[in-house]
Amino acid sequence: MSLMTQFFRRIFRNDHHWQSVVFFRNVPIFHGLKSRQIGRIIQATQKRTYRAGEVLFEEGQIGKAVFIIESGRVELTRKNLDGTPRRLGLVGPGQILGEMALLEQMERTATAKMLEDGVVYLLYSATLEALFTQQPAIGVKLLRNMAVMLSALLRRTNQELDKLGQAQ
Amino acid sequence: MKENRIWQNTLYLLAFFVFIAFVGLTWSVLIPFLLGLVIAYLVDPLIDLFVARGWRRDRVVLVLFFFILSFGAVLIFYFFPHLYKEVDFAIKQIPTYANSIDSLINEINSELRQRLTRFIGHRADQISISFHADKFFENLLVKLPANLLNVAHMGVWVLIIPFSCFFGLKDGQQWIDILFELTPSRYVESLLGLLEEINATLGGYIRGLLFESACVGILTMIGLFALGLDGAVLLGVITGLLNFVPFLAVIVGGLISVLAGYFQHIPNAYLMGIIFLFLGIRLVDDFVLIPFILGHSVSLHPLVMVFAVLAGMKLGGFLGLVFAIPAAAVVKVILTILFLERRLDDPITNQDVIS
Repeated sequence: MSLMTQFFRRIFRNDHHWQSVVFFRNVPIFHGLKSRQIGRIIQATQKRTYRAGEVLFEEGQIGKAVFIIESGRVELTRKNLDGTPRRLGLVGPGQILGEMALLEQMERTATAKMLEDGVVYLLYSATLEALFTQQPAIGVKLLRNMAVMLSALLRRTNQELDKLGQAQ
Repeated sequence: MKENRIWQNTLYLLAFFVFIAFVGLTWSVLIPFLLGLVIAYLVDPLIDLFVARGWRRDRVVLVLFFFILSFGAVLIFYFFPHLYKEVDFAIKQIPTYANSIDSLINEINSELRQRLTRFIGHRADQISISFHADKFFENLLVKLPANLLNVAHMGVWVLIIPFSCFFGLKDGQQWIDILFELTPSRYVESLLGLLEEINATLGGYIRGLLFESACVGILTMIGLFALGLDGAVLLGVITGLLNFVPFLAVIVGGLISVLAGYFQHIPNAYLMGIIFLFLGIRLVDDFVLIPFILGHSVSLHPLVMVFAVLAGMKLGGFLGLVFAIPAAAVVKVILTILFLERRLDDPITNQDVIS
């Protein structure tokens, strides 16, 4: 690396940005995207620190944003018919919540609540759609990743249904 | 618990009214700060291009400011002297123009009286066009600086606008982060939706409007220059500025240009040329510039647009006129989000998937 490049890198390089790029690259939905494309997505997100006990979204609300967990654990619950909450699972760093909001604005099917303090990135669905129009390459990769994720989810649901059927 | 909530809401309401009163009282001081922030908002996507590539925001802003100041210096040294010369020329010509208009009106008045005397006798003496161009221009020149931009404040504005713009660009994202941190978690998604929708509607509109106005101004400048009119640069700048207000550029810009042409005694064919030039610019604007540059970023009903413009003029003078449409668009976005928040997209139903 020439002295000049080193000088410019020292002055202009944003180390915090590159740490975020590494984090985003490991989130399944952003697999295969180039650093520059991930940079555009980071630009489109909004970061917020959530305290333990704060609710990210509630069951029945219209989903408009995707939540990407950078740190902290999130509990997902769903109301039973009698109104009592039933735990669906835990989500942690590097995982994504409410990704269905990217595809359709529907009511949330669960409530997400922080179990401990953590940092979350929010990505508004319409902003991402606008980014898809500007940079179709991002849209193609992202939607492909989503399709793979949904396909895996469907496969797992089928397997569980099979298990249930065999048990009966 | 319920009582606490009522107190809390009352406090929020009180704080809101105090804030509004404060803004109302300090409005004239706030204008340059707001203008600086508006410029920062318009330039931000350019900074974002570099930030998305891993560059430090503060350094990019510094470099950009260096370039903007250099460009500003070039503009001041090359473009402004020419514009100043034309403004100076126009101001010196005003008494001549005023006299010409007054003598024209006198001629019309005497002609009018002669013809009306045949029908209504001596009562025709009371009927005349009571417009005195010399008084009108005198009044305009006295009031213009106070109305448009108070000259005494200009020096402070020149300092405050870049200052406010710099910090808006450098720290704007941090201010938004703080807003999100302070917002209760249950409203975070709605706030994000509101800001993103406003950004999508406004950002494109204001940037597009600036570009469209520049195109209209440059086309006017070139057209009038080709028709041999003195003051083409000044008239182009005026038409470009008028373009910020819907429907005004062609009517007022065209009228001023035709009058300027008339008083410069250019041939009648060239006067017609000016009219056709403005009609042509209007067509290019309607069928090329607006659809391709502005698109449908602000889909307001024409009646709402006219009302917004008049209300903006009443509330905030020239700046109110310029910001009327963007403000109306913001109100529309807020109302849409508030009242249509529960509107669902047309989803693909289970039936569609199964069949």
